[in-house]
Amino acid sequence: MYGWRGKLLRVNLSTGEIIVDQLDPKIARDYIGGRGLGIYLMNQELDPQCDPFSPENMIIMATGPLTGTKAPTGARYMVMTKSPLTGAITCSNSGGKFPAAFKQTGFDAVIFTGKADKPVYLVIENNTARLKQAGHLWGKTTHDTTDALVTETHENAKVACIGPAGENGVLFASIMNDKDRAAGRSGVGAVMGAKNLKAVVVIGDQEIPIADDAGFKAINKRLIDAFRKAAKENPPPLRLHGTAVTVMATQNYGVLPTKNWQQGTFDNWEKIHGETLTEKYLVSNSACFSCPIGCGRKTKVEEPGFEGQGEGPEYETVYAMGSNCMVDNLAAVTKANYLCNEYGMDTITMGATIACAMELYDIGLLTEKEVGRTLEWGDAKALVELTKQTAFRQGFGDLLAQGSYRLAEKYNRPELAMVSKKQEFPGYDPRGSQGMGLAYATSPIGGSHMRGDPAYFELLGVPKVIDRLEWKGKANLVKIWQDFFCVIDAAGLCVFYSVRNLGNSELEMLPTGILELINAATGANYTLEELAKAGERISNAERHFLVKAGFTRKDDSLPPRMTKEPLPDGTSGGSVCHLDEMLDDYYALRGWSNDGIPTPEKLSELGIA
Amino acid sequence: MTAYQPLKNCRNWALPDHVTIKLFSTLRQYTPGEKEFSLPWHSNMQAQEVLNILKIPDTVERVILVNGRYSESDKKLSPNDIVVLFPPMAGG
Repeated sequence: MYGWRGKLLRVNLSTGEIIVDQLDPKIARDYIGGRGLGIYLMNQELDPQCDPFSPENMIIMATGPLTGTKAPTGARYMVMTKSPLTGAITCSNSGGKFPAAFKQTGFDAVIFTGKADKPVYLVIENNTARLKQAGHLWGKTTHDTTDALVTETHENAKVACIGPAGENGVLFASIMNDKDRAAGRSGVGAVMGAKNLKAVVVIGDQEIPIADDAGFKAINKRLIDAFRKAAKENPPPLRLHGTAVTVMATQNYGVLPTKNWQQGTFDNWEKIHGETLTEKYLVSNSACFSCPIGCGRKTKVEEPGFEGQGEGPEYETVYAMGSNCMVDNLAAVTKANYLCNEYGMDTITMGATIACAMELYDIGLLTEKEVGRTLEWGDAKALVELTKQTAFRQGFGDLLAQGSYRLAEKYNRPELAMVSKKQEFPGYDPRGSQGMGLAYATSPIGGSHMRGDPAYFELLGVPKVIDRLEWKGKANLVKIWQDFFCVIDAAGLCVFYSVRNLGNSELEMLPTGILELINAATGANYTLEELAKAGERISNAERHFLVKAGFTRKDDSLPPRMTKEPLPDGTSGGSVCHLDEMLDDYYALRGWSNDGIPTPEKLSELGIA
Repeated sequence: MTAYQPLKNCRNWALPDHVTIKLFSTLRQYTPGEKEFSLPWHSNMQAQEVLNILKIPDTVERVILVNGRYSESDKKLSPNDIVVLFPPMAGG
């Protein structure tokens, strides 16, 4: 095969057996790879009702046909499993250098099942793989684990691993690769920890065979030349200031979640803005494999109490740990981000859970006795201290480790958790961004912006901006963008580059540029309709799994704060999210029942069994 | 050129004869000095006039917000309007 490697690695952690399986070319074509291949395997092989922490659960790390190639941003892989946070699927996506090196070992994906007796790690080195003992690594941070594994395997090794949070079953533990890149969301690291799997080490240097090598090179040259030319007059804001530059947009739109989503603006927003990060803490930017943008932030903080260096924060971290907790101390936010990276935790859920705890404290349901300290809005030291306690499940951190929904539910106020399917929202208030509300509610992983991000066309001007407060017509766009994102994720590309450079630049986005790249790389000769259909197939296959796991319309929900409490401030003041109206439209457009279940006809049309 | 006034020196910026301009990110380079400033308002003033005064070339991509709502360059401005300009962004 071209583009694809044609091989899957299967690792049974209970028995230690490792086998090489073939990638069925028809499945590769129908599901592309990455996220698509992952959900195909989950539907075929995993009991949707299983306990996420049981040996039965599987972890799939899957690349796409463009991962590890010279395609711009061909740097991504996807981690899929059944989530302990949500009970739904995960689609935790990450870039850096690890995914490309993984693909260059000769495999498209690795599938873990079972549970090891003792801590182990897997080494994949050019077509071979072996399990090794990891007892000496257990308890180490992600940074220390990475350094140790590079030392004991190979100087060119790339590492994905968990930290103490994953070992300790924090429900939102992440898998960190290349130290600071995160498959961040939904607790994928906790599933690894439950399997006693500390790390995956890849040592790969095989070039990926390309069907039309000359054609592929020509397309890439054209894309990169165009990007560089455009960047001369319009330098990518993400390169200059990172994703945290988005703060100024959400603040001005009145959708910057503040005080556990009680407000849409934050008075001290400039203190946590990306431009402030650049001025005060930026050391340099950094880029993933084959990326022309370079949005990563290498930073260093010297303020006493918050000293450290590493990567971040991203916009989502700045919202969750900053404005949402009313913390205007960017040094503290950055420090808490470093700790999440080193202990292996999702910064969004960490920050949002602390914000929820601050509200429970504010209204008197939580007290100093239970928290072990005061917990006023804006307490920067509490942010850092509770982040540490959460990773080790010490004191109040044991409760925070379960995420905001379980925390709020314990105090009989589950509606104060700003979640969909028990996963915390990213930083765009859907009361001022209607399509975003529908995207949160229908995302297969719960609250997420990366499964079809309406912020592009409602807030950020890509490909253009439409009325963010209007709900009519949004269902169609959310469906189209969700399916478009499925193709991006399955191909192994980055959303940031793809939305501006690999689509047709219409609101009704189609993967025209991805089509060119995939066809040249794989020789599969997709038509545009077939590729777009593959995106729709992935969306429906994910939904099919969720339905089998018991999810219906009642789970496609937003907390009443979003649908019943108008925003009190800012330029979205007075607005609520019209979710129910959009859901009716959405299900009809999807070919799903009014309860959100794909009809037999729709599944048959897409060939989903 | 139409005079601009730095916001902090413009005590009367809230009076109904000015609009407030805020520039962000890569558009900051077009600021006449302050990142926030005011321009005198006049009837028939459109957002395009702000772009012209700041000499932002047509080829430079920008999102225009007027009072937090996305607007085209022919948007007619009213007294006390807040005009925000930033580049389109792919990422968050």
